[in-house]
Amino acid sequence: MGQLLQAVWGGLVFGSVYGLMAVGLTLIWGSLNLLNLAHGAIYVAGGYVAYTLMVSLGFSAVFAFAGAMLASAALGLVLYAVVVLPMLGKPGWDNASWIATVAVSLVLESALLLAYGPEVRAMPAAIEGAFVVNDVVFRYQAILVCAVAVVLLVLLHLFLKTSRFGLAIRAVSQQMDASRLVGIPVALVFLIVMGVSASLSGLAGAMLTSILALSPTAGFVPMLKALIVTIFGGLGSVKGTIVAAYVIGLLEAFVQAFAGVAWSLPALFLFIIAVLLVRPQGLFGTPELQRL
Amino acid sequence: MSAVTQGVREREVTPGAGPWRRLNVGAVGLALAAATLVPWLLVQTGQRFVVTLLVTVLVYAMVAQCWNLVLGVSGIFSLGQLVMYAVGGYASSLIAIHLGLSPFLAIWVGGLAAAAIALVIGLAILRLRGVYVALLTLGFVMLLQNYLGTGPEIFGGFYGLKSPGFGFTSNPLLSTYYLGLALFVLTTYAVWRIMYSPVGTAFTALRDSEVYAVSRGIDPFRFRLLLFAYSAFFTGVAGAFMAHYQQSTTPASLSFTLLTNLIMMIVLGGWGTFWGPIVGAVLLVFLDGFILKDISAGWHALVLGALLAVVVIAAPEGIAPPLGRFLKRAADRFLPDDEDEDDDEEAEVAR
Repeated sequence: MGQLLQAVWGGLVFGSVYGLMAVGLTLIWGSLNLLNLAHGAIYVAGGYVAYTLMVSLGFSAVFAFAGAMLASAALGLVLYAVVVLPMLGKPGWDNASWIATVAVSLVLESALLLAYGPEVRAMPAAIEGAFVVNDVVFRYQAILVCAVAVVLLVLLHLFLKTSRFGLAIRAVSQQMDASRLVGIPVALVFLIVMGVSASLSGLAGAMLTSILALSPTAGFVPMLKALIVTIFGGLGSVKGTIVAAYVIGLLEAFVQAFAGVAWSLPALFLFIIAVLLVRPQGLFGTPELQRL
Repeated sequence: MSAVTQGVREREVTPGAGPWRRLNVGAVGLALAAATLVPWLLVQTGQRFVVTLLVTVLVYAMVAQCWNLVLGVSGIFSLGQLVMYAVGGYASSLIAIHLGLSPFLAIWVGGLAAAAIALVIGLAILRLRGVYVALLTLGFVMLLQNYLGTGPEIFGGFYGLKSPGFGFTSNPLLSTYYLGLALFVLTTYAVWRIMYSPVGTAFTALRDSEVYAVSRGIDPFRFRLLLFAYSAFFTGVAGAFMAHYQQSTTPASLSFTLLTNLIMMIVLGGWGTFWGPIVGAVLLVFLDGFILKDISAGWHALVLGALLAVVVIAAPEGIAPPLGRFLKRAADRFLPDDEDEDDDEEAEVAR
């Protein structure tokens, strides 16, 4: 029973962080039709910025997290300027864009490697300590991660559903040309989407690396899992992504608890293959019109 | 003329309108002669290192060509070509180790095994599109790497298999090179043959406008499955050749670094073009072997990543097409009377 509850708790924590990452991926996919494979590199960059602020410069955790968000938002804007601006609307955008993001992530990861070295670092927790209820260990850091993620996801959901900017973002992701016609500043929308998405990823990096580990290539696996979440939830659907994040997080935690850590990624891939065969549009995605 | 064929009119296609290309015997012969003689000269003059680089070029060019067929010509976002590469290497090595088959025959088994795996993977993913394919093929790469590293004893774990070598006794490096060259020529011919055929046109049509292609009676699933298995066969052969050449097969043949390197070759050279992957492989292997040889891993990845970004963003058609146009202009200037014969090769590059 204790193991089961521990797995559920672990699933909720991981699900929250995958949600933070996956929402960014799905926002970018929805509005720009861009598969952003630099998301993992931004995650790691957020982790390193927080590490530098906390360990090397001795700032408090709040400052570190805010710094990580700002720095990664800046990276998102750089990505926009370098990849999206020169290439959007050109022929071959579908293929060339994600290769460009691979290139950017290579550059970013190797820059981090040069700056910090290849060794794995332990990020200190923002709040140390834990309490135990019914044999289940609740680390304060995990509770913090979970709470911050939930609050941010709810805020993001409200932002998209109620604010005028959220309306604009949703309009652009449905019909870019029509949105431009009715006077929505599409370029500004793209900038906001890239900034928000990158800052959420950076925050995920700052928070999760204290539970996992921090190294220049540590972002790859979380990004893959976030991609799985995005696809399971239905590409472009924020609600679906949030639901899917918790489902995937719980699934992963159960597999880890009962079959071993090595099986978590294979199990997720087998799961998503099965899902795509049965329901290719994911949980809340709209079926593709092009399906012939 | 028999009664059956009498009523059938010869189908006439305006020259240049069909997808077919004439093989330029002169140019190909010249290139083959150079590819045969230059390494021999290099070995004679003691430049063995360059010849080992050339063997690497041959293998990666084979894989990049096959991958380009899937990614560039047909527009399938597959990241899984390394699965076929590794399957070829492992199948061939296992057969050679446990059944004692000669490596010369085992590499073909490797190719067949890769094609069989490609059929299975293709059945699962080719009905999907876009990013789904990218994610799932990447998933297969990681699953296989994990499985080979931690799976059954027979795959040898992370240290992999000790594949038997080809057993050349006299001048092993040069002999290996010639074997690789033969396989490379075979692959290149196969790629050339299918690219410039009605089937190749069907692939490009599916890439450029799937709806239109389907309305003209092309079954996307069957064509893509065919392409997947076809390219997998030669990729498997390349993987098997590499395994016996290096006398080891490890899960590192599925590493993400190799994956990005191969994508880089395709993109730098110019994807969707015939010459792109070959030019890209030559460029990248020699860049690695000479210019970037002495710098640290971090700077290495930084330089290559920046190069890839610049090419994708600023010159998306890659290096081969502009190079081809340049050569064609040069040929036009210096060989004004030679209208069609010598320019064939360059015209293809310019395509």
